[in-house]
Amino acid sequence: MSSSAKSNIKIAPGAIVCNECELKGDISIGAKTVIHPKAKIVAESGPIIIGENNLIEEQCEILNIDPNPENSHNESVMIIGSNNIFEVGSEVNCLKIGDNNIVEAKSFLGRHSNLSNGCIIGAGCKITTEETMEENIVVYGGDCKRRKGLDKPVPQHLQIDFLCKVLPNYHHLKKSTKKPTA
Amino acid sequence: MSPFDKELLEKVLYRCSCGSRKPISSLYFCRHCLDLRCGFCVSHEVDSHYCPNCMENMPSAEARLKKNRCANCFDCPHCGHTLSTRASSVSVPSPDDPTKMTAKKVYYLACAFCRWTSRDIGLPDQLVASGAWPEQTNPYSERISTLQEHYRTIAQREKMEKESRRFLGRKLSYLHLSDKYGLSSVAARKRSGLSSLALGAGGLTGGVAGAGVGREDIGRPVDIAPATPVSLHEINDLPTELLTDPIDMYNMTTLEQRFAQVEFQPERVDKIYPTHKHLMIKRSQRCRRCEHNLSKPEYNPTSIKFKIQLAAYYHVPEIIIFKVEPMERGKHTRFVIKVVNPTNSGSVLEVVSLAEYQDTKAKEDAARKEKGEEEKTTVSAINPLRQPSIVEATDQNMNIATAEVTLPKSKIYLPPRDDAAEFDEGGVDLAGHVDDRDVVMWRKSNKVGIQLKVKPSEENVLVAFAIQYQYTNTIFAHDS
Repeated sequence: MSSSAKSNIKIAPGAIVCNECELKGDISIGAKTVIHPKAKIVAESGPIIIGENNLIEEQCEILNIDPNPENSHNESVMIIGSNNIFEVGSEVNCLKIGDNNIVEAKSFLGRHSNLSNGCIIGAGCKITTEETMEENIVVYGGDCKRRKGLDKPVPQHLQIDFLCKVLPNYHHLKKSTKKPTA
Repeated sequence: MSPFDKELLEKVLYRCSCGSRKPISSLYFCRHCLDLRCGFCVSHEVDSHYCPNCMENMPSAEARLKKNRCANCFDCPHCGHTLSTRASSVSVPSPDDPTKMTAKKVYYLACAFCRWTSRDIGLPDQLVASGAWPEQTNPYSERISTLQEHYRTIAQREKMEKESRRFLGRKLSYLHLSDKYGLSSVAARKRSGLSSLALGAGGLTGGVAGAGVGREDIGRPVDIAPATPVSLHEINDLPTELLTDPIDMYNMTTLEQRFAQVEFQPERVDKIYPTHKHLMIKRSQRCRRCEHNLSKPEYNPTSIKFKIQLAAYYHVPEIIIFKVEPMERGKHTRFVIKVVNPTNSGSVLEVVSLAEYQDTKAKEDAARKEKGEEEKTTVSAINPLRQPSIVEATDQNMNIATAEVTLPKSKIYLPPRDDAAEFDEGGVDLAGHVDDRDVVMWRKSNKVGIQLKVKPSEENVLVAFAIQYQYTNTIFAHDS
């Protein structure tokens, strides 16, 4: 398994990353992203790039792990856009996530599914199909019924601002690495 | 394994008075008949209506008027979950100063489960939190109400004709007939020479309705035109685009969504409207034989207590399989059952085989017949003229046991339930009874462990026996 021996974590200034979260591998986190304690981001078979304004809650697992060890020669990059919310306990293995998505509590996204923009994966839903979801799809219910929403879900700016103010009062944060100006 | 799993519940079954086998949690105990009753031996009645969301009580007349729906709560038309009202701020120009913008709260309905909102169908946000949601009007409601009026008058007329025909056979004696038909006034008018009041068909035979004040208009038929038919040729065939266009499944309604709005049955998802929430009922149950109430809930929808709760669990000793030694075919195995006495008075338990039980029952019946008493005709508690009855299934219970069981011969004392006993360190008070050491394994306040032996012969070991215990009727049921 070719995993980078040393962790290369780039945290943009403005991102709030708690110290208790587990970060392994090549990860880059955008500005104003909040990562709660006990979140787990493991970039084993490739780097993970997380955009801005995301909210990654407790016990959430964002994993870039290839289940077949033979494919370890190709590195797969996992790209997560901005304004996404990963609620408590969700597990995300897919490689491409767009913007404005909500992955609700205890849901599961397999490695071959991809989310475009504005999708809402309901609580407890397991998506393992090999597909790219259309925009604004809502998946809900125990049997993963689907619905097309009219437009993307409302971005939670208020919550992110609040967390940016309150989390530093109660948790130690990881220091942001200065981004080299291009 | 949760204690409510079906497997665990079905371990010990009691024979209800109708013959069906039920776990003790599904049975009621009638204090008047001194017998077990299951769901089939009990008549279920509607006690009250309430909304499951806002917990608002509704008298049954009002409920029928509102078609058993709550006025304030809505169901999501997409998934059926309850809709919640959410607020969002909108800045509008304030009425005092057109240039300044003030924030005003507007409300919309949203479903927390499928994330449907009232904006999806284009319903404008309301300024008031509840009550202002527009309803869809049925385009046929006028026609339906005229049809209903028409048929109602016909039905009333027919009813009155039927009642009048009843008296046609006998000699008409105006003295005996009450003023129900307004006859005395008709006779009085005739005598005084005034013209008789206008009537519909039926004339004056028997002086039917129409004579009383306010009944004149019943006889008049409401003129109603039949609906205009549409010729078959005018109805278009289905558009052929249905065969060529790509299917847009996300915009089509499912059958469940369509049937939730029976009057309109929209085909597209942007035409579904939130429906008012269905009311739920609280039900009360009555013994079918003596018509006494066995279970009556409280009127308050938020309360889970009961006014009357005669569940078997609270009155009949509960038997639980406590410990079973590893069983071998053909060998006597010991097993312990736990018997719990739920009542506040002590009881003496005797375990009886089914053959003995049948014998005792037969003897009781014979003794009663000898004495000349007939089968006690049970009297209904609510209406003495009603003939209450229970259907009894053929009794297959006597032959279902698959293993022989050796029952203890002695009687066992069951102490009463004492809530303070857990704080009281001390032995169990047996009230003078002596325990058989071979039979009673252990005791703990109102619980006893009793040892029995079974000789299994099949895979599925089923043991059957009867218990005889003393029941103290704490509240005296008054016999009429």
